[in-house]
Amino acid sequence: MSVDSGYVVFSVDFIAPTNWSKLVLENSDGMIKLSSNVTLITGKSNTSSPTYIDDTKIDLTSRNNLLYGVSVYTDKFIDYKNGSEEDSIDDNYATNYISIYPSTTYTISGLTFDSSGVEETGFAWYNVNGDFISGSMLSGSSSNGIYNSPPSAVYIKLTLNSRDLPTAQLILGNIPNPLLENNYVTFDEGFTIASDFSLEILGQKFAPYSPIAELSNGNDKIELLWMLGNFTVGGTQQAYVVLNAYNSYACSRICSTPMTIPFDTVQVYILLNRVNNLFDLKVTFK
Amino acid sequence: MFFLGLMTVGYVHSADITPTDINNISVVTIKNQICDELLITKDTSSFVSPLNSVWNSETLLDAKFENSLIAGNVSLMLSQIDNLRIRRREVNSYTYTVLADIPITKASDLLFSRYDRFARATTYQYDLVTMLNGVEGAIVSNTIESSFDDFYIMEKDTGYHGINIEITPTRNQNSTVITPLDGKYPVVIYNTSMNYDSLNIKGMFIQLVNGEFDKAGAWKYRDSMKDFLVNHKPKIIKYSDGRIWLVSIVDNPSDDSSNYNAEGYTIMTFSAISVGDASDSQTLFEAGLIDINQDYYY
Repeated sequence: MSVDSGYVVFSVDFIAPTNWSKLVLENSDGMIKLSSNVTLITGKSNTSSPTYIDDTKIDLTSRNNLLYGVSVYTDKFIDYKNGSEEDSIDDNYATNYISIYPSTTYTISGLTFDSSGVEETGFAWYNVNGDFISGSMLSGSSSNGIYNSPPSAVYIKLTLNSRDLPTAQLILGNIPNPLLENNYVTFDEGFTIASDFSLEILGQKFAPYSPIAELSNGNDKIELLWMLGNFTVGGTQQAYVVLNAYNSYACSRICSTPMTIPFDTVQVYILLNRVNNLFDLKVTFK
Repeated sequence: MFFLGLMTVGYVHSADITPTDINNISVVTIKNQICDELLITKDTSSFVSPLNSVWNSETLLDAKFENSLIAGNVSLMLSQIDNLRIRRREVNSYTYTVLADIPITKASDLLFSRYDRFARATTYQYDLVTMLNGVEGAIVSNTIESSFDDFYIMEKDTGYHGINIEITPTRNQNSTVITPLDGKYPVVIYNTSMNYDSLNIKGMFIQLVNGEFDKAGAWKYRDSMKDFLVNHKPKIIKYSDGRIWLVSIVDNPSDDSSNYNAEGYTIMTFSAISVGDASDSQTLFEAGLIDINQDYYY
């Protein structure tokens, strides 16, 4: 498994001040104790795994999940009996080749949708020339488990149903019941968004079909999801962002205008405006 | 729009999304991406990226992820502060006493605690003053009624507590009486403007530990205090009634246990003379009692 170089392993809990706006005074054994307590905007990352940061960006991708960032083909599935890519009528996706080590243990998890009896969905091992070696059925939660790659295998392709895309994982090693790794950063102190606002994210390598931002007041939530979809017959897949805004009375949903799926190295601006409780959404290349 | 012969969605905004009221948002989470910047502002006038990421009064949060999760304006603050000055004044007075200058080079420098050992028993206003190149900027203030029990004698980093204290201040001046050969009355000449207190101090010095007098360790406390009294450094003496002096010790401290049989109780006696104004910053600095940046002191 490769580890990015150039990153610094970052503390999982970092506090930094923003406004030095409080001076606390107290009597203490004949002295006056002065404390400069700054107002904080506290960024917190999850404690389950290291978060990586460099001098310009933070990596919130799921590094252990080999499926992260892998391109998938819509309405296709991998026939586990011969490794071929077949048309699907069951909302399945076929992954592209994923590099793996030969004679190594891998864990597949997060599968829930059972498509058995409809399509011969599964995964397949391939050699360095892309030739099929062997495969196994993948269908539903009973397929979650440990698999050993054949001695000559260097690639794997999997079938994933659309319902399993946000949760499916392929992880190196024998890891029973792996948690869905989900690196995040939360800001929950030192600010309040009371009314109209604009939010801008400059990011890249967004995980398809996954939430990329959430804004909450404890009860209600505004959620942005990165989505892929095909909007024309015979057309190519495009990327877009969905906004869901929930409160106890209503749910608003809007989509951005679809755009060409950006490469992982291409930066994208996601801009959200809220004026008078109406939302507007825009996604553009940097 | 006509639909099945009926007018439907007739108003221009009829098909707009439902306004969804979600206010007082205080939690923002990002995930599933490599993020270069997260910016939130109250300014909604622009709907074109990139938004203005220079901090202003509309900015709520700006995380640039430059080796930290800083999302506030500390970077901006740091560019506008090179020194943080602590000063105080007595309420109803306009004379400030500068107590400390704290160089600011990084965010953590803004988080600190300091003790003011030289505050008399009165009401003070304390200020934190931002400075850049010697120019004062924004000020944060707070007020406290300084109060303490009994008697303290303090230096910059240490101090001792006394009870049952008797202070006998004497105001001193320098005069010469000349007797004229042919006069009825003498002539008094004041050759100097000396005007200072000399103090005889007598009391029991014992440490308060968790609100209890430490009788067992009292002799150690007093031994340490004797070294303190003869270290030739100026000190602050202050009493709970509000009196305060900047003094030097001028005699030999003595420790008398003749009147006490109980463990730990003795009477210590020493003398001191006032050597300066206890509320004057320059005097306190020259006495080695405070740290101020002389370049910024006017």
